[in-house]
Amino acid sequence: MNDEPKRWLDGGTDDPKLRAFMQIGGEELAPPEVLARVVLPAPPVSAAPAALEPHTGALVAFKWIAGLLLLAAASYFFLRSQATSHAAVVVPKPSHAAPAHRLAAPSALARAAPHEAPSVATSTTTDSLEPATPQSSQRTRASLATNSERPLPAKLRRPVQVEPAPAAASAPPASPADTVQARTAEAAPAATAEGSTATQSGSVSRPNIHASELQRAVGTEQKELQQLEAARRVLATDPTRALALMKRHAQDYPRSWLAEERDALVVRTYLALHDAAHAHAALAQFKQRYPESPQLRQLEAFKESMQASGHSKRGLESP
Amino acid sequence: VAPSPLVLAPLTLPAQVTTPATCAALFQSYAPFVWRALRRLGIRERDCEDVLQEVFLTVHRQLPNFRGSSTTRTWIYGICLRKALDYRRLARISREIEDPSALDTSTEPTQEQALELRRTRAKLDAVLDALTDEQRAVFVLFEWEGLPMQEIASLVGVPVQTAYARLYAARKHVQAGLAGIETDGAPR
Repeated sequence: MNDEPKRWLDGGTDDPKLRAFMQIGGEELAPPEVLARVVLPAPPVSAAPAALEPHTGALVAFKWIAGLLLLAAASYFFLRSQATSHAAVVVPKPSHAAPAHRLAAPSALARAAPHEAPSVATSTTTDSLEPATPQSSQRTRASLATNSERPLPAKLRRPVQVEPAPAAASAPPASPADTVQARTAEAAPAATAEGSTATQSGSVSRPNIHASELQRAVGTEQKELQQLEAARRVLATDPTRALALMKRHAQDYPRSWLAEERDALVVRTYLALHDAAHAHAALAQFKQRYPESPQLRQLEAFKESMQASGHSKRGLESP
Repeated sequence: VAPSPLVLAPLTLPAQVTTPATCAALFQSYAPFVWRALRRLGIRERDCEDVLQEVFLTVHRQLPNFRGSSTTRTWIYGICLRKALDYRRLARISREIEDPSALDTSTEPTQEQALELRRTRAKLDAVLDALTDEQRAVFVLFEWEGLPMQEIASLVGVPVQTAYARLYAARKHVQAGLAGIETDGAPR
């Protein structure tokens, strides 16, 4: 039954009339004029989109994904820039005191150095912080209270503030105090320069080390200066005691940076004691040790004036 | 036996072919035979041009969706079958009864052969009209259009055995109708 029977047009029937009937029915094809009148429409518009629908969906999805990625990237960079700018304002807060300190520390050290006048040092200690803004000044003061490096200027200023009183009392134009301050300015710079250098380098531990060394060195020099000043003060009233103080000073500080001033005072003291022999010997020793000393001519002039006035005690207080 | 030249050779087009050139090629290749199929399926000559237009409009519209599950010829004849059924279900068509004797006989003597041809085709249409739509579809697609019975069964949506039964029943009715025409002069 599955074998297809022959079609009547292909010999499936022996009836010629039936085959002719089928032949006539099969020959009725479309007339050419009818086919010419049939007009096919333009390609449907929906056909192309239907064919491209998968691509269109993928394209739309790609656009959405790309848009979301761009949005996420923009948000990330925006937040990052915000965080960076915020950190630029906030983060320097603790370190901002350090630059202010570093900038203020050299000037503070320079102004508060012992070779300067104590009053100036005291006044400029706060002036050194003035260039900073009030907030930064507050922060600097706060950091000064907490930073172990900050107390250094105060300690350096302390001995200097003690000195001016006797210096102002005598106020000699070329008093040993002035010379001492000049020597201090020569001796201190080493530590001060090192301290400032260490401070500028940003190191925290090195300034502390130099501060202690500087403190110790300045303390020793201040003791020498105080002892010599005590001898100079009693020179007019008690030359013997002054001579004893200077001898003790020579024993305590044989290589003192005030040795020149001390030896000059020794010459004056012997002259004040009318001890010509010791005065002459001390002056000769002074000439040998300090041939270029500016006090040498003053000492010789003072000796001549003393000899001319018959060993008067006038002028002994002044060089 | 060589196949009849009137039977269209199967033509398979690649799927997803939607270019206008393809539609035009399909029309040039299948339009004459679609016309014949429509005529044998009961479309009157005066309406056949419109139905032919509708068939190829459908082909043009549905071609992008054609997946190549069958041959293009089978697919197009399936459209013809549905269009013919829709046409025959129209009320005005069912009420009209064409009288073959009412054909225009005022033709020239040289055209007597053409007139006889038209009368014979009118008798054939009358015989086929006596068939049911199911029998007629199987008979036309098998006898004139040369479709395999398997594809015909698929087009009409019935098993192959049922398609064969319809073919044999149609043949019996056609033979009886033509015999009655020869004896009575009118289709039974």
